[in-house]
Amino acid sequence: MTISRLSLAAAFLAALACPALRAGAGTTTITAHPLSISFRAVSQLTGDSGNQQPEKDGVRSADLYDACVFAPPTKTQGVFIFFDCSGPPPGTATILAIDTQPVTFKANVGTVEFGTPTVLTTVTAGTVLKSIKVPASVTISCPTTNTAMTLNGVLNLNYAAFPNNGPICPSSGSLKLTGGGTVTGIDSIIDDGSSIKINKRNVGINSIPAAP
Amino acid sequence: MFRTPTTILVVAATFAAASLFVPARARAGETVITAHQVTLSVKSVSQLTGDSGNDKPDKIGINQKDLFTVCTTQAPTKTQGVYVFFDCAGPPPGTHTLLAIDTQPVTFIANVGTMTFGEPLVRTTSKGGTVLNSIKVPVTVNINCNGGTTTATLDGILNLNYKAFPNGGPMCPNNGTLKITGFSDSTGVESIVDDGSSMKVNTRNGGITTIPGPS
Repeated sequence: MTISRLSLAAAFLAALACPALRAGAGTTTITAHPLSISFRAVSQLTGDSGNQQPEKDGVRSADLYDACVFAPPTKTQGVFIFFDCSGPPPGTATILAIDTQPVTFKANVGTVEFGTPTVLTTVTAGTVLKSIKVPASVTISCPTTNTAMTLNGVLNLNYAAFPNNGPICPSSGSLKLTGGGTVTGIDSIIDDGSSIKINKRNVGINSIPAAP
Repeated sequence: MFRTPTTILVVAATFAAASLFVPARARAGETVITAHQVTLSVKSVSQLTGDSGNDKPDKIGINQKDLFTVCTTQAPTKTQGVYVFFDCAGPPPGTHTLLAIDTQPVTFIANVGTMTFGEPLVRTTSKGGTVLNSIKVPVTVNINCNGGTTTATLDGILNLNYKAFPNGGPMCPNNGTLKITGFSDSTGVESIVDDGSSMKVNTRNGGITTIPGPS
């Protein structure tokens, strides 16, 4: 019957929207989020007069991608963070440089470690998770390049369910952070006003691309 | 030698100025200490569960008086407060101790915590690099007081200004600011120290030149 075919097609499309169903029963659901990075890097400059002063430079997502991959990103490439839906906080928090068409690993960028406590906001008598707030330490470490940083802040991470009773997973978030490290070989402070915006999850990516 | 009255006055004035403004221990070749009252503004967030069963953040403000009270189990009087003590080594300073003290007379009341400096350290200097004006450095503030029942680990970037003591005195920390985030545990209540929290290192107290120790 025509109606039955339409129902089956609708169910199939709904299944596509839910990563858990696409991934198959029992498989960990992964969310992938492009990062908008805005670091205020401050390094030491000594002028001709012998006076020392701060040298301020902005570091953005494209700069970090370039530092880790040795090439600037194309329009389909960027720095992404991958979470799972366990916790909260997530059990997986990996930062990679990737291409999205097709989804391809380009370079490791870093990881996020969570501290305690995790403060939850829930609704529906505590059964639906809306957001968390948790101390976070971001470690940036690009392979074979001299870019490495340890950054601390408080992560605000929003959660939303996937359609059709899918799992409740990270949706978007933000993180103000400070710290220090080396940016392309230059010792730098990551100063107040630095931030990472965790953009809304990319529904087309449901697994973490593996290194070749 | 016979001195004219004018010379005696000049010598006396110089001695008085040096006595007032240069820490006595500097003249003896010992470590110069600066003492700075701390102004604290912490946005603390802990977990609250309402009657409906919903979880939500419980936000409270904590200031330096609250920290003093937690660490000493008594509210500060007008002459008491939380102070950070620096030396003039470095930069960054080699001494960086937080204490609850009384200032009249200068008396130790309780340990509050310490600072640990990270890298790199960025300087601002003048006069051909010979005069240090300020530093910027990553720092972790560790609070540990009242027998370990109150602890906190707070990270941020310290901006610390330097200024010479008068009459050719040493170049030492003068004042500074620090925005902080992290976490705390006070008698079992875990909290996040959220964005918008800060610590102000007030201008050095000219009357305190040593770190008071426990009696």
